[in-house]
Amino acid sequence: MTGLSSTTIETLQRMLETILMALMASTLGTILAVPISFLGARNIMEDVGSPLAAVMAAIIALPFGAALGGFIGSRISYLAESLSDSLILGLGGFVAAILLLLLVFFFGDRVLGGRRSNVPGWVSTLRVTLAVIIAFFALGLLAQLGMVFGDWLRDILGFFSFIGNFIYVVSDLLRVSLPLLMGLLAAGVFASYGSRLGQEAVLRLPEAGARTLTAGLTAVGTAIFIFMISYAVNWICLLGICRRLPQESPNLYIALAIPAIVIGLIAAALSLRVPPKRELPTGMATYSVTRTTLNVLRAIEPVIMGFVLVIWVGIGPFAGVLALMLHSIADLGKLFSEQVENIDDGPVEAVVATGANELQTINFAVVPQIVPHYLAFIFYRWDINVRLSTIIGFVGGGGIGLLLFRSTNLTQYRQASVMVIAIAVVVTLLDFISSTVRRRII
Amino acid sequence: METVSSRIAGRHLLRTILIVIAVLLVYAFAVQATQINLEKPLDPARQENLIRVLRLLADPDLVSVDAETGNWGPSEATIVTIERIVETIFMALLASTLGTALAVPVSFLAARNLMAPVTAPLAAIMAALVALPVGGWITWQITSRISSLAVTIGDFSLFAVLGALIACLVVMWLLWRAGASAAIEEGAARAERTSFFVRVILIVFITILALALVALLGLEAGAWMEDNLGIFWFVGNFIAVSADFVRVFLPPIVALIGGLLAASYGSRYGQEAVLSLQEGPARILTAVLTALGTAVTIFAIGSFLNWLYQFDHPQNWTTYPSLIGGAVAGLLSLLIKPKQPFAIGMLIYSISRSILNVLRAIEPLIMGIVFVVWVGLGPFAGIMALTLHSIAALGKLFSEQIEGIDDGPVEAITATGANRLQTITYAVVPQVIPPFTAFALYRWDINVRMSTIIGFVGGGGIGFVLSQNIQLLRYRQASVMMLAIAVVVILLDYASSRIRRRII
Repeated sequence: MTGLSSTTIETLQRMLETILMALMASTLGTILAVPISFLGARNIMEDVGSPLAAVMAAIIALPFGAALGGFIGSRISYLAESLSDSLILGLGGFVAAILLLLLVFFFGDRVLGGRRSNVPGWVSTLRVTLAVIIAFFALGLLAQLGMVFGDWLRDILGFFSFIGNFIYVVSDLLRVSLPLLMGLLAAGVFASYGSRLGQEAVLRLPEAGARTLTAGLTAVGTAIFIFMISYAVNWICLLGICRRLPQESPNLYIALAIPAIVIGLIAAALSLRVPPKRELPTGMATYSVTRTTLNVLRAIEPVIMGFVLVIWVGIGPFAGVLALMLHSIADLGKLFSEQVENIDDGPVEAVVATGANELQTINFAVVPQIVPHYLAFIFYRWDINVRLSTIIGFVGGGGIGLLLFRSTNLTQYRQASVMVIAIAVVVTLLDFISSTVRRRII
Repeated sequence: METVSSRIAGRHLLRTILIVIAVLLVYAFAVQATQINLEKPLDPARQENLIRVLRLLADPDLVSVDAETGNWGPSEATIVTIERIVETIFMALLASTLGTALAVPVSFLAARNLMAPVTAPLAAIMAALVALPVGGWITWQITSRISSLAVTIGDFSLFAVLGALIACLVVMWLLWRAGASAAIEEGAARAERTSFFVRVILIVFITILALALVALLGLEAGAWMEDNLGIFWFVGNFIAVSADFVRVFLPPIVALIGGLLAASYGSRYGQEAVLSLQEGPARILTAVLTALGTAVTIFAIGSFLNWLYQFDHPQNWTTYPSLIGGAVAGLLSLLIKPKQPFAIGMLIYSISRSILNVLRAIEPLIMGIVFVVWVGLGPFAGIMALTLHSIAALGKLFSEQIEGIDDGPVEAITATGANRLQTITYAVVPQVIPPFTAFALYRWDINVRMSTIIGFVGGGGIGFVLSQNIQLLRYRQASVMMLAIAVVVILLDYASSRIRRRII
């Protein structure tokens, strides 16, 4: 009896794994690169600016928002988790949350008594906040139920157990990210409110008052900013700094706070020299930070990233997916943002002339122009990811590389040859397919 | 009308739903296959481990303090990193240079618009196939004799080599002068043409001898300079390596050139003979040449397979198939018109494109494994792997660029009666130089990145020490290397993008 050798069978399995690694990395990378690419596009960010007071107010508001949002988020998650200990309670809670949400949204006006325009501002803010909290609660319950459901499906579906696994993993991701999302959302809302309030106050106040306000906000804002940065530096122990700082609780905070306060005061003194109503190029600052981060990430090969990620998530394809994803974000982020920079200004000006805001301009003038180019780049990156996923296994990142590396180390060259042939065939084939598809799209 | 449109809309909706479900299923399977789950990343022990490693990475071992004197200085890791990062950059430089130089000729073979018009009758192709090994073998024999003659001279003394070299140059100059005066005379007779031909061949042989002698001299001079030049010893090393390269590769390269020349002459004479002969004799000539050419080709392929697989009965793979194949091909060739041109250019195009595609598909890291087995651990293996991949990648990019050129200049030059080589020189090359330069720089970027990791399989450069440090859990030292990689790659990226913008 002749048949496929065990090497061939294993090679086929690993090749499939390799291709799926490339698929996951390309998809996730693309999804995350798109928003980043707008932050890294000079022509979009150039116009964004705000007075110093607004920037500082946003910096002050941000940590409070994050802390509050994170706290509420984790409480909600905890509530959802304990509620769904019993399946019936979980389901009931979910239905109740949805009903409550409908109540707040559609019948809120009647309950509060009065038409929408008559409702005072704080009431509608309260209502939206309530709706968001209930929505997050519902999502938390959904995640818990999904995990139970997925686990159950995993056991009964046999060959199709991967569907159950998918539901489980997605629900798990939702569960873990809910407090994080809540924190981010609250931080964003707080920062945006702070920025708006600061801007309005500065623009409305007379010169001297505005100057004083700016100085005060700058002092507090800079101090908080520096404190956060030095806290992060201490946590990661950058350049061994934590070995020179006291690590017990009160002393550490004092050691971190003193330089922050001093720098805050210096910044406040310096801010007196800045015209308080002048707009600072915050957009360009965001642009520079984004671009620099992307450049640094892009410079480190995914194989090197794989080393670190293997330590975290263990040897296997997941580490490879993460490494490739990270590199794809950096690479696509740069390519995408260069594409945004090269768009035709005509449609943008036309849409701006209609009085559209920033988001609407992007939606109706920028996006239609860049979609074909983005697709081309996604295919290009998919090609690269297929190639790289064949070697990410050399550092333990899963896929066929792991197997190939093992065989060559054991000097099993006949087995290695099967894998090299498989790589050559699959990569050539996928290259051909993607170039054909690309030609048809563009 | 409404029912029809609603039915179409319904079908569209159904199709969309099906596509969404199919995509979801693919991703569901992908999540399973790639083992994506949050249990491992959320595992507290793993997180602690990661944080520990990140803290070590955040604290690169850049400087060391001497315990006795308290002096600050670069740490051992920093010194190693600087040495290795320089090695890495030069690996990329050499691989890019060699890759570009070798990719240019390949790209002309892989350009559809250049190769499509190349056609020849069967007899010409077969004559070239027969002449190629014969010419190659003869030149190989002559060149290796000349090389051993040079070695014999070198065994006497260095002065003998110098004397022989000077003698060679003098003879070459004399022959050249005689040749030049003969060429001036208009309407040179057949005898004069023959003597001119003989003179050229003599000049070529003496040039080969001179080259072999120069290689010997270079080896000696390089070894001497390595010992005596101090910090500039690498100049001596370069001379010695180059001379060694010339010494080793002189016979094969000359044999290759000789074979190609013979093939080109064979092709030309085959074509002329077939076109000038009557239908009947042309048919017979084609059949004979086809039989010979096919036999030679099959024998060559069989010998290669035999060399690779070490068959038990080599004649089953070389002699018998070539005899049978030659006879069959000769008989079959009687069926076709002898003067009909064959699209040999498209055949060459397809073969070279396929080879480039397959080579491109194999990552340099995988090639590196093979080269490490051959030339040993170290940067040389890395350079070879990167060069091979660069040739494949640049060959494809270059040939696509040639395919995209403007036809106007080509037609204009062709209309003046220029031959193929002149057309390429005056119409194609000026058009492709800027994009070629841009692609070479782009490849240089990629090679810099790749050379930082080729060391993982033993290919030298910073990757080698980086992977060693990581495997020994020396993360603070590894951090220095990652930092160096990031800085160097960003700087070189920036420089090359500046240059590229100025060129295009």
